[in-house]
Amino acid sequence: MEQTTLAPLRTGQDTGYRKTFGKRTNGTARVLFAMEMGRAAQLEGDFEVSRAAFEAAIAATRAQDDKAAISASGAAAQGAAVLVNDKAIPYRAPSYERTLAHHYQALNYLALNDLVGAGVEVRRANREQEEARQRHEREIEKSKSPAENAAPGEEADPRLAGVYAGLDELAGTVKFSFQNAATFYVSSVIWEMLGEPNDAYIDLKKALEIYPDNPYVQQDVLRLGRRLGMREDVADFERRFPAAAKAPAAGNGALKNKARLVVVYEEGLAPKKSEMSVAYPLSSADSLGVVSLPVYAEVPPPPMPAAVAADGKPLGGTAPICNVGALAGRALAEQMPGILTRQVARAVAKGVAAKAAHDQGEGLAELAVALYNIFSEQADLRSWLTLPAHVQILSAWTEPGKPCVAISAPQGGTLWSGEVTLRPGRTTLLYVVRIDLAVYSHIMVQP
Amino acid sequence: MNAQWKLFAVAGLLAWLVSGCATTVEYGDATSGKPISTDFGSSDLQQIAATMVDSMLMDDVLQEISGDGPPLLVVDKVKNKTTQHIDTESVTDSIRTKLIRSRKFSFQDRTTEAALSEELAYQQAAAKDPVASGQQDAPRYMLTSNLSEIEQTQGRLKDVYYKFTMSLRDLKSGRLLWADEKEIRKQKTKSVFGG
Repeated sequence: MEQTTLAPLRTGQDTGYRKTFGKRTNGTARVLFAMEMGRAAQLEGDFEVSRAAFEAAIAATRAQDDKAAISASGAAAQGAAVLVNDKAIPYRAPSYERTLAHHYQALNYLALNDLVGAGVEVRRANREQEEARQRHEREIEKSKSPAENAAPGEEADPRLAGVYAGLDELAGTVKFSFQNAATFYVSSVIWEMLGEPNDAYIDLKKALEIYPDNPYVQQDVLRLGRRLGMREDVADFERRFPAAAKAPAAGNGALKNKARLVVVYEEGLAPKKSEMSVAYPLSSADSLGVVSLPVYAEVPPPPMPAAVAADGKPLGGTAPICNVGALAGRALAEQMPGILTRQVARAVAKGVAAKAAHDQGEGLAELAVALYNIFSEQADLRSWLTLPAHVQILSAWTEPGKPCVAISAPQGGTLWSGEVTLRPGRTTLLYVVRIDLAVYSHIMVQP
Repeated sequence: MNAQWKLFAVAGLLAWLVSGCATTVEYGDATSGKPISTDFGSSDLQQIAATMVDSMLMDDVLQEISGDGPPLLVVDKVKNKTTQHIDTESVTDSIRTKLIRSRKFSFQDRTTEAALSEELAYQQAAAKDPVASGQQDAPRYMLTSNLSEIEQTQGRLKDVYYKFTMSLRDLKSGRLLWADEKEIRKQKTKSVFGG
């Protein structure tokens, strides 16, 4: 993956995603490879291939969800996982990856000039985030009942302190893996394009809850709140965000006949999981076993705001709206209790096999079992790797026309520049992705 | 004789094996209401289009507006407000076709406008007695429709509710003359055991 896809992506070379992922989209990790293919194809501007890949990932995920609670194939995979390792279990995308799959699929539909299709994906992304929130609330409810000793993941196992410390560092201020404000913001932009300001307003309020400091979210929520006559909300926002309340983009100035430019700027690549071996007592095997757990060891660099200008006139700087690495870290922390249960079960099963071989006194068999146990013990390190590390946004109302828009790095130096079509009363979405040395871009004009 | 018999037997066995493995494809009834998933399917589409159009054709409003012959109607594309990629153009076509076949309304073909303007331009340039542009009748009525969806999941039960709303508007007065809605509700229970 590093060699075949990530390295070319970092330098702007052809990833050959069809060859790399084409066959793998049938295996146990089909959901994962379909998402990787969808993202790689989208970056290279092949929106039809990307759309088909994401559609396959979304359909396969849905099929997993619709499967019987206890299925023969699922049980077989779980059984294999007990004997080998977690990689034998079909990949199930965590909620934040599912939401982002819909997010990128919405961008595909926009790029293909299908605004209605983009609306469908926005609704699906919303449903995914809503379901994740409800699942979380149910878990909180459960953990409140006295029968349960501790909430899964909340009261962390002291032996796993090292594992959770790394995840907490990565997740930072993000408390839940479903707090993805970037998707809510892009949703609101698409809702406005569809002429549904009320839906846009609801999603902006959700984005504001997660990123209250983002000036563009503040301005947009004020603008739509004023337009929709949400008096109490607007008064509250004006008190909380006095600077945004005075900005023309918040609907104070005349926005009629102006064009809206929305920049979605993605930076870097999401962090990779690595393996950590932890000594863990195995009660049933009377011994101390070693379990391999996936962790995030690296924290990606913080987001760097970029300055945006049209024909040399500054429009502002991009502001962070989503830390994908933090979502990944929080998601892994949420999954950790389940991962640990499987790893311990596996360590116990393997310990029993080693003990049996030892008791029989067959040296060779004992050696073989010991070697098998060492080599088969691997943590599941699979995750969607072509995702960005950070997402930033900018929204500005400006004169329509075809200005030359330039995005420049804080240290100076232009990251991207090009002619952008801005139509009166319409939105143009400029999507720019920077991965190390490479910059990918696409301009989507509201149809 | 014996060899020939063996050959037949082998051929028969082969045929049986081949047919046993082949996927069978059959014609189905497009209107049969056998749901296979909670998605909005083809039979739902047929059912909805038929019910709504029948409801409008049965309404008294039709007589009121048909004084000067079949009124000219525009059918707007159905608005998809669901979480599924539905070909709403196909639903719109079904509705329009059913209305045309009822002979209670008259229609203009709006899908070939580009070809039409090209033809008119050509006529202006070359024809002896050209059809002047801007002479078409303006449709007075407009039919608009919305399809929305509410999904709820509780444990293993999934409940999907679709609502189709249709309304007829007088473009001259702006008044809403008729509206109706139809609901479809689908439930699915996830089995405990399965493949």
